[in-house]
Amino acid sequence: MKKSMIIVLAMLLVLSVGVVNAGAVELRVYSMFSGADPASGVYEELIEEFKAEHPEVEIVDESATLDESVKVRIENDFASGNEPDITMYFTDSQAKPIVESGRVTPLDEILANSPEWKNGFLDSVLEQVKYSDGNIYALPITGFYEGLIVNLDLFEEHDVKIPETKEELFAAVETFRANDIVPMAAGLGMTPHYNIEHSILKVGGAAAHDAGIADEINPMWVDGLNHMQELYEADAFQKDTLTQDWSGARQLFKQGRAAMLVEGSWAIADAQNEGANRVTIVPYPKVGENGNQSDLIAGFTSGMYLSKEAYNDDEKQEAVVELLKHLTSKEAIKKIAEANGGLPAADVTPAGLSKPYQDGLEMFKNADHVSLPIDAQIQRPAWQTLVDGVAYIVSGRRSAEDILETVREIELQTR
Amino acid sequence: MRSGTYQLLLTFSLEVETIKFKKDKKVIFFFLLPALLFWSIFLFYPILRSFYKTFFFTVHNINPEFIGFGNYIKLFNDPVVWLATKNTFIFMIAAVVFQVGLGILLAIFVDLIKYGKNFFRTTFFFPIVLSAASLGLLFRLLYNYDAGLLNSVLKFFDMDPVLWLDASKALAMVMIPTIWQYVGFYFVIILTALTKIPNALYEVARLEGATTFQRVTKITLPLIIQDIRVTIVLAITGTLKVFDMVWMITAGGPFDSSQVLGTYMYSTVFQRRLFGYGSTIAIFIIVLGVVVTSLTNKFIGDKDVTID
Repeated sequence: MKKSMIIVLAMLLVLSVGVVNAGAVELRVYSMFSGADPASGVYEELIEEFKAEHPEVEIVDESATLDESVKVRIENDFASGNEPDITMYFTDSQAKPIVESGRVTPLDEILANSPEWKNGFLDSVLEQVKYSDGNIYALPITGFYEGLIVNLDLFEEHDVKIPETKEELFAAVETFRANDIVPMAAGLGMTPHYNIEHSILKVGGAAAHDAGIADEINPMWVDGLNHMQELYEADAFQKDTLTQDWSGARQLFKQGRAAMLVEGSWAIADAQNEGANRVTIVPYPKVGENGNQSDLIAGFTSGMYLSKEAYNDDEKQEAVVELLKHLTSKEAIKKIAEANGGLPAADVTPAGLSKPYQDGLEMFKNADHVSLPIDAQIQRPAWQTLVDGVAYIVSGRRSAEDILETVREIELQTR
Repeated sequence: MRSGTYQLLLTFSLEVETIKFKKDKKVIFFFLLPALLFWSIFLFYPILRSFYKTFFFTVHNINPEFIGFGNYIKLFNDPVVWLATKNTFIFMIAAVVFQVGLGILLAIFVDLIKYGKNFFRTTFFFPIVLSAASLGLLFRLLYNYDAGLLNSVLKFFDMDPVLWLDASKALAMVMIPTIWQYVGFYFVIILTALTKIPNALYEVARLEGATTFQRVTKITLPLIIQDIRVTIVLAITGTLKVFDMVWMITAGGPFDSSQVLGTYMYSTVFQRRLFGYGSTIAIFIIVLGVVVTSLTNKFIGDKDVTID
């Protein structure tokens, strides 16, 4: 009698603990929408909405601005099995450590079971975020485009034409230099990324840009890098560009001390400032014979990953899929695109965009061809070697061929 | 009552004594265990783990591929490693000469003055409490070519602006704030050491007619030589860890001219994602640190001067 009482009491205790626990599904989410990101407010609203609709779910928001150290933290979280339940990360070559950790769920089937959700996305965009094994692991929200951000006031004041060709570009450089204005702000020392991509794209064309480096060193890459050297010698960049990064370059542009800046859609809102009141974004000029004026670097290279562990956890599954659905719904995509001016991954038209963003969307629509950035296509160690090599190339300390030789060696080794 | 208390205390202390003598090792072990665990988890294990990683080609910390001594061969053939080592040694010499040297000089000066000691103590020590990252950012803005303070001042006096961070000056430019930040640290150590010197010695010297210079060189310096030795060792080991200031101001550039071992290790791991090779550089830094520290101890010696 006594024994059975104890067993009953113990069972009651276990059940009651179970009931308490059932009320608290905890979900960890990482997104890049944090800090100064223009979409962070909208993202927080989305999370709040979800919390209100699902009081039984507790959300631990681990969002942080994505810099190199956060990237490494995320990679290591996946390598060590400590990943968040939903992680926003890259879908390009940088996805390798995430997908190959084996800790994310392919989403194709989940999407297929939920046609309304799936139809919210543009098919072409889903195609672009597919991993090399043919599966979709991440759901895109917004994409980006890159180009030449120009300070319209400075161009009008000094009567300079917004460059579309190499000649016009160098003429603009000369005029601005003569007037004590930095023609093109760039962080060639630390973040020459956008300049590398555009130089190669506009000298060699999309095919050369997209060729990668594993098969051979495309001569257009050499010419592209030499174009940067030519600009450097023409004094196109600020004098201390070799020890600066994007923030220094953007600062110079914002203060109205620089007329041009090669950057992406994410930078437009920040670049438009007291010193640079009227800005717009145009394609980087066509520099070489093979280049095409309207070609762009643009695309979708990030998305929301779903952790395999969370999906296989019966208690979490429903809640985590619901949250993913909520964050990547057509409405959510529209709201985020309106906030950050990016390209929406759904078939929606963002409302209320400012002039430069309208110009940007127009530029994107008029592009003959869009390429993903080079760093989305080659392996990280190889890309960083190229980035570090730019200072050596433009100053003439090492030739472009020499640097690319090293880059290729590392690319082959890494594969 | 009183004798009872006394008795109790005696027994207690006897018991303590017994514990101390009989179970000495256990007690020592018990008290050292937390520290041992802490260091093992957060220092020894990571070092061993890094050492293990040096034998692999690892990108992104996944799919390691065993390559034997490949990373070590790469290390010895990597010109940037040697440049960074050279820069680290230049940094070291500058740290000893300027950080410790200025620290001693300032401490002696401040010790000689009558009023305002506390003011100077606070002023010189102040940079230490600031983070190197924020100081780095500050100096990066000072050195900025187009909008920096230094060039604005030059412009005001109608002089040509200077490219402060070019290959020939970058290393010196990152050394200046690092030295400036830590002078106060050594200054405070030496100043504290100076208070240990009995005033009687100076009074005797004054009666004998010694000049201030003689008092400093014949009394002060010989008596604080032990403390100077400690500060030199601290300065040397400190420079092996230099990272944040350099990273914030130049990130090792341009053309690796201000690259030090700490920044090169960081960029190898966190930018190039070469975990295996980065670990090899880390092990190299540890070995270098042990060698340099033991050499310093050997050369500076531990000749101690006592007052009696």
